[in-house]
Amino acid sequence: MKCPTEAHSLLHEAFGTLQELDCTHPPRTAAHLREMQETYEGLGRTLAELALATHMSVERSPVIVVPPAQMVPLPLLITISITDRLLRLAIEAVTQERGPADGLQFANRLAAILSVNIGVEHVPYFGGNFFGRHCRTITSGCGEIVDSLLPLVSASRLTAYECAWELWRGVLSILNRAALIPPAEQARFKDGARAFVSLLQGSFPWFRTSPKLHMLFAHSWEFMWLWGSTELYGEQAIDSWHCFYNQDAPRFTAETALLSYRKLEQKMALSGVASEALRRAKAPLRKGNAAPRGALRPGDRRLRQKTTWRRECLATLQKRIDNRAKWAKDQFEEGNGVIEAYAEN
Amino acid sequence: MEVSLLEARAHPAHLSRAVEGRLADLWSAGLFIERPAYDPQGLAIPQTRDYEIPSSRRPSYRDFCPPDHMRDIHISIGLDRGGEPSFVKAVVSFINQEHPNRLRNTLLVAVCAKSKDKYPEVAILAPHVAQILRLSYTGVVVGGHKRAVRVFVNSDFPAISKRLVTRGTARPCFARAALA
Repeated sequence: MKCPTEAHSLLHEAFGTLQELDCTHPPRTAAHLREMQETYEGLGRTLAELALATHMSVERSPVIVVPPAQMVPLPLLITISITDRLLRLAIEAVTQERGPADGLQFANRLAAILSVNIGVEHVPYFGGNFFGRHCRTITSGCGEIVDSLLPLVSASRLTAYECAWELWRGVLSILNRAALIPPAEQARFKDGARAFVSLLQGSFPWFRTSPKLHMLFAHSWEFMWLWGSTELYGEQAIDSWHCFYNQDAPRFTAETALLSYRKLEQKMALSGVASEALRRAKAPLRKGNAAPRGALRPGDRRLRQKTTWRRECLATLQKRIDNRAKWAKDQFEEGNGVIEAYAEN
Repeated sequence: MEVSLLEARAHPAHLSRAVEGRLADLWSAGLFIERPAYDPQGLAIPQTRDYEIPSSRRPSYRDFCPPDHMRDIHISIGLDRGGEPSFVKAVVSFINQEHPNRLRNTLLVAVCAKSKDKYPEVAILAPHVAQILRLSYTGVVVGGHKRAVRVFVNSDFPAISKRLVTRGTARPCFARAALA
């Protein structure tokens, strides 16, 4: 085990760590960012000349300076990252209690449950994780994952894991709601988020609080408290543009990448003329359909169980199986690394 | 809207005009929603004061953070890599409406290629930040009131926010100075 240096101990004392949930870290300020902007740009100093306690990990000149209260805690990234962490935690728990062979076997089983029972597949982007909507689907169907753990881990761990999913489900429904959240629900969100992180840290001794978990534990509710919502201010808009480009990519082909960017920008500029605001303002009033939406009758075929089987070629199926196995292997290796490091310490 | 090509990026030539245009559209369509700040009791802080251009050349508030009781507009700015092929896209959203994250309700302000070091990607925002700074100095007239500009950052790219590239043991938190 690597011992902390004296300098690191001093930093630890001054700033605390993300692992200490009850530690009140000194808040960052816009003034510090401005100071760093001046240091790098005005005085021309470099990172190597500054101590960590001075630059506090601001390693480049900030392009835009806003106070911490106006930095959005990125609800989509939190959703994806924490759902992925919870899935890996199950693999880690099995590896820790039953050994690496069972851990790997469980990882493959988990991948199959996610794909077949819950109906989600991981995507090549988002670091090979599941995207936002799928994270919510996984959270709704977390019972399948808990059931699969039943014979493999101790009762206390299983209860803690099940409880963690329950808390996460409550937190997620508020975190990802693009609307103003009433104060009572905000209070529930704060309690849930704090209980969730405390439970994980208390029940799984190898578990370390990641920056995303810290954001959830300490800052997302602060932001929500001040502005009424996190999702309204979130990063979904950028992802909408990625999807838009993916769907219409052939329309933006050009001789060079730069011309391709211009085509995309021009498309945005033209569509901007017909913005949502103007479209709705000039649209004739339409009478709404009195019948409720959604799959209500047996023949509606909206539920997964009711949809007919879609024929797929062998190559597609094989690719999916390979990807699933790769996801399981990657998750296991990462989880196993955590458990090995914990065992060494 | 005019589109400019600069080195290896494309972006609208006049972001401030585009922002003003979008807000005017929202107001005329009756879709503009006030977004106040909330006090610790969960009550909206009433916005009672209009923004006034200061007589000196210095803006009356700093860091895109006007006083809570001043009428303002909320815009969020962020950038991310993505798509196939993958580009860096910078997007501005207008929060003073019901669905700020819908594609049509946002402005794609810059597109550029990825780089190994993320900093040049962030630098594409620099001209836009200058325009938003000017906008925050002059204020924006919406619904007969001159409003201040409050900017939110929704990206974890280095140097746009305080959440920066980790190095060694110092993994930073975006709002608190804490080690990992």
